[in-house]
Amino acid sequence: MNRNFLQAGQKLARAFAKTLNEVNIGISLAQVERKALQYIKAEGGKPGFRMVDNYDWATCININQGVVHGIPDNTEVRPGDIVSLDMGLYYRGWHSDMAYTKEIRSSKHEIRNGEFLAVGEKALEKAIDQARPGNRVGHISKAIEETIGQAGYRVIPRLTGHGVGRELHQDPMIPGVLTGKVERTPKIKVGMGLAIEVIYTKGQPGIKTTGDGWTIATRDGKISSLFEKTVLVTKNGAKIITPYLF
Amino acid sequence: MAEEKKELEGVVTEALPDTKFRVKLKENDREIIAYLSGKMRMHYIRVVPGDEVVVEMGPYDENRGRIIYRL
Repeated sequence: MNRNFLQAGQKLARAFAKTLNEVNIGISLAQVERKALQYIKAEGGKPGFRMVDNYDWATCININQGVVHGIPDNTEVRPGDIVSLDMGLYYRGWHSDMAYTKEIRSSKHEIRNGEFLAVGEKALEKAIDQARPGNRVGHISKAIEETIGQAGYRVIPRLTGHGVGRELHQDPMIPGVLTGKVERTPKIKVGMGLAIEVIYTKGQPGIKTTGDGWTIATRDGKISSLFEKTVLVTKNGAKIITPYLF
Repeated sequence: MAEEKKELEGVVTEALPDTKFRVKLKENDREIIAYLSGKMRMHYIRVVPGDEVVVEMGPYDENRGRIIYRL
């Protein structure tokens, strides 16, 4: 257990909560990005995503059919949008990573996707429960796949969670679907940092990369959602180091 | 930030028992063992040595993959 890793998580959790709070009607994604940078710096951290080759932003923001890796451009947030915010923070050698999706409300707009979003959060909780020493990555995948599937939605199999710690992306990959037998998936061990992600859609699970080379969207244009937390595996189970402070 | 399962192009070098194939990846000349995806089997798409294919790399094993497309 490294104190700087725990700090990287706490600092991200705080910066993330403040940034998410800015995501409202009329704000542009570029403005959200600027706020994120501000909050990350105020915590004494660095934007972890900028350390990814060719990615120059602190956040990935995805609206509606956008799934992941959305470059924060001048698009403005509108009522009814399903907006996913994904951020990473680097502190003293350690990375942390988290994401959340919310539906933008207004007095004229009724919440339409409450249940769709609630399922994702629930799947993340169940997945985190499985991140125990003695279990395998397949147990996490199965928890995500079953929770999302039972609600009638589809996990996007090509996009996965991942180990996190010294690197933003490290072994093991943590898919949201189980392929093959659980016993053939990697073991979960004490000390592992895991960025567990639930990435799913209302429609078909096919995805495509759009013109900017980064943003990934659903092929059928149906909305998608994303929830992610970084956990540290301890002998008593997973310790969430990036809680949702909102 | 999510990771994406890699899809790589390769050439089939050998057909193995059990509808598995040895595939040489174009990216780095590495040889892996790949099985035929269900969709391809369902549509009776034949794959023989010499075919260029797209392989979805296994998340857990760098030496394993799944043939998802014949070019």
